[in-house]
Amino acid sequence: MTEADEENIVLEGFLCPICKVDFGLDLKLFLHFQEAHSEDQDLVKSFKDLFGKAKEKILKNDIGKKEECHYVWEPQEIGEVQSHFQYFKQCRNKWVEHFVMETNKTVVRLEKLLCNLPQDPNKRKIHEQTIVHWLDGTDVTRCPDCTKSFNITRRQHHCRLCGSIICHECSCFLPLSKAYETINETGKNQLTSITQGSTTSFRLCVHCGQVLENREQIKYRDLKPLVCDYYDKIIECRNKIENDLLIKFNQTYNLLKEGESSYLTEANKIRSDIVKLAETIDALSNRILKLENDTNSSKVTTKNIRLAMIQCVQSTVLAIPALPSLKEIEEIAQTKREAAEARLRNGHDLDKPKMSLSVSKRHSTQKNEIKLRLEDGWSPVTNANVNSDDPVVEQMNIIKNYIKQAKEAYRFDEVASLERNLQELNEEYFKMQNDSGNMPGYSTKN
Amino acid sequence: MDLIQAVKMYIIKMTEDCGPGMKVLLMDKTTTSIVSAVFSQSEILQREVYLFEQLTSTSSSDSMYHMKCITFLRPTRENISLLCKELRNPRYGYYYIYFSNIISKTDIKTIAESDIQEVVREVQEYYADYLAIAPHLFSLNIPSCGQCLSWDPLQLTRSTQGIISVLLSLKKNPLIRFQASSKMSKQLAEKVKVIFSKEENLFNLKQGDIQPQLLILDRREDPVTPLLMPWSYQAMVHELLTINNNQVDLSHVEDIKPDLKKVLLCAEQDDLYKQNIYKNFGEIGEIMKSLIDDFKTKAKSHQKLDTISDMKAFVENYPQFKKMSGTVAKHVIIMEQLSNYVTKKNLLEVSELQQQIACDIQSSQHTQKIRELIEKNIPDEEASKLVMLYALKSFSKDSNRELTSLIQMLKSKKVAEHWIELVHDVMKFQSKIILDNENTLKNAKQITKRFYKDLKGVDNIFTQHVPLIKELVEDLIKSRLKEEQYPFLSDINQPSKKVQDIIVFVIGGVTYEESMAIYNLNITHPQVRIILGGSTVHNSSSFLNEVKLATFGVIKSRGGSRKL
Repeated sequence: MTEADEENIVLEGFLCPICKVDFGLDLKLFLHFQEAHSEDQDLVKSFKDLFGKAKEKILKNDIGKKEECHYVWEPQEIGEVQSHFQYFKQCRNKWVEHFVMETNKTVVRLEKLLCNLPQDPNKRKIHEQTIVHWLDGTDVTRCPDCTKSFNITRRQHHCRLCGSIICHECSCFLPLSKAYETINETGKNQLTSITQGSTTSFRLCVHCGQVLENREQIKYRDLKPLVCDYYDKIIECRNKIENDLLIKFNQTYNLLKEGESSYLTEANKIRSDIVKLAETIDALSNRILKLENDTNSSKVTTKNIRLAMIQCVQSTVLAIPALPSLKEIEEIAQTKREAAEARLRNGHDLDKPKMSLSVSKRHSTQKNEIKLRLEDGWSPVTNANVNSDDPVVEQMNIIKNYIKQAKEAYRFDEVASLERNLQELNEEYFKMQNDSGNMPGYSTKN
Repeated sequence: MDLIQAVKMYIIKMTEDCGPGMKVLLMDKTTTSIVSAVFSQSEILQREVYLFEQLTSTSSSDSMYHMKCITFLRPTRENISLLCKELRNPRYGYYYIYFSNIISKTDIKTIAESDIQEVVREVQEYYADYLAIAPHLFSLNIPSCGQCLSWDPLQLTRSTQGIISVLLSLKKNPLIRFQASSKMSKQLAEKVKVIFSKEENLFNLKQGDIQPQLLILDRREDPVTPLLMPWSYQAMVHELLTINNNQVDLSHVEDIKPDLKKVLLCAEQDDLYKQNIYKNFGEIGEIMKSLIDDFKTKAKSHQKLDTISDMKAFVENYPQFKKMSGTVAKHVIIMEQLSNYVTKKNLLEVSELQQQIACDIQSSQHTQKIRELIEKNIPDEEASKLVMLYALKSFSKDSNRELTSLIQMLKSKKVAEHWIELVHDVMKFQSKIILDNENTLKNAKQITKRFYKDLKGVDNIFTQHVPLIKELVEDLIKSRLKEEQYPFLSDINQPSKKVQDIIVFVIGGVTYEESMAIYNLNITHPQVRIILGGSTVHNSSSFLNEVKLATFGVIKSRGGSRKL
């Protein structure tokens, strides 16, 4: 029992952790420890290390958990890219030359075929064969395209343009009317109407068919559907809003916030211009949506264009802040005047640089202003319109500016604390001014 | 080293390269998911892309010559022949072609020869050939890497390409390290190395002082982690509801609104999700509750629109309000589903026991507790997963006997044969029995760990297990990763002691729980940047599927020491 009691006694003071003697002073304990237990120190150190590490680990983990901080990696540049376009063009040019030649040859042959084409099928066949040499089919046992063997049901056929052998399934047909169109001879309509009774088309192999088809397609490539006109107009409006009007609006808006009431009509005009353009975008995109679309893809496209424009209109128009009324602006101007007078009373025309604000500076601040409005939190923004060379004056101006912003944001508690700050600075400033009277060499250096 | 940014920048560049005008994005199946992982539809619409098409053999023939076509494809044989076909009959005005990986000269020639109408304006390689799931996490969506515990050659190529594209998109030319005990890791490492030397020009990158390290690991080293029930939000959703390309299918839920049948879970677009992605189930429950209360008061205040200013405030807040109501509704449904599953499957009890088995706590009582839970009729999959964990973690002499009796019990409970087979498969899958000397080493390590844990106190009994990958990466950061077990492939005389950029790739997939571990390591070690990737992101059921396929054709049970 007694032993246990002894164990449980709580010892206090500067105790040696090994022999449990109280030394009364930290220095004494330290000396004792060094003298008496120097050989144990390694052990202690290793313990300390272990605990230190454990502590560090725990602390680190806790930080990770509590602050919910996210790791931030510095912005990166775009990854590697490799272009193959040069090589691609080389390969293509060779091929395209070859292809153009082939197309020309095919068209010339077609022209020859159509010239004095007999209507009687037998005569026609002879005519065709005199112009294009038909390949001898005796050794050809399979269709070169689908590699299926020829037999009674799958018979050999000849392409009328190149003379090669194909099966029925691998051939395509060029109607005579289209053939004339291809060689630009519309005048021969009469002939086509006569021939309509008999075979009205040429049998072609897929390859020749493709050649002619491509030639046709290229003709239509440059045709632009109605949707393009509308779309171009929309983009024009959008660019005007984003690259011109919004910037102007923000400039004037900030001037208004400075209390310059003369800009009110202009701001109103810009605002209504933006709204009008947004309405145009809305109307145009709606018209695109209503366009008649024969294909599924174009339906999807128009729907998506409309969706994108609605988003665009929403984001621009809703982001425009409402203009302050004339009364509000005058109030701002009034407070500003009062502030200016107060400053004058405080001596020295420090606010001169502020009055002669250049527009470019406002420009740089206006973005901040807008951001400030859009964010939920509030924090004052340093306006660049303080350019006195005295650091204290600068500081004071900054704080004045903060007060103004805080007032606009209705943060009266902040206003109060800022004003206290300003008061202190004012006193400091006067003290310094008096001192500097004694020290003519006073400069901004300190 | 932000993967999402890397992919995003590539795609933004694509839309900028072709100038203003209406655009269509022509993709294949894989690139579609690559793009949709980082861009929302509205974001991409604002970049003038109004049509999304997939390049298939049955593509529509609607021609729209007034549109520019951004073609973003993987350089596969099939894609190239489809592209040639497309170019012979072009449907769009001009083509800007981007391949997500390195393409051969012959393929370019083939494509060039199909472009007879001269519609192609650009041919580039932009290396966005992976699914960026988080800034530090990528997946290649390979559900199964191979059979017979060796590579499917196709997937080996795909994995190589994936790693190469990650490296190029981040401009990294790393030293390669691999897990010596795994044949598959070695093969993959060698393949990557071959590409390095073949594409010298590409990999002639400016590097900082410290060369990055690529560490290739094999899932077989740690089959335990994917079997455990995770409790952080993202991992839990994946385990219980399955996240597929950032989408969660909720169509099985009764009376679900049509717009919630398939919901998108994307941290880039959903702030609520982004903030809570790594929070645990309990925390999210509370956050949800406060959110709903908040939401209710807001909804109420909108109900009275007496004055003009009320109305104005409403209109101004309306889009945000609507958006918020959508997100909140989505997460409420998900949370509801999760908590249903937790009760239905008895997951709290199951998970506690899982953790005890995985961390070797009170090991003498494991079999007893497993029996009790099986008696409680927990679902087949949970019961057999417990037995699998036991099989993986117990090495005592009589564990064989215990295991046999546990399996007998599963059989008597009429657990489907499929699950019992999986127990055997998992054992075949595990890379090796831990050797004796290693065992003691590991024990020492565990004792120190226990010591730290005791200092800290166990704060959550459901999340005690630490994934192996976390320990490995921590060792790597401290330059303590053993070179015998994880050798360098590159011949370097003296690897620098310092580590800065680390890219880890796990053959056989990673889990969201591991992703969270890496995320936390990135926070606690601001001097290093770690990226984790895997052939896929597994939950327990997809992992077991992979195990099933991987061990197909493997006859002998591991080491032959444990016959069942």
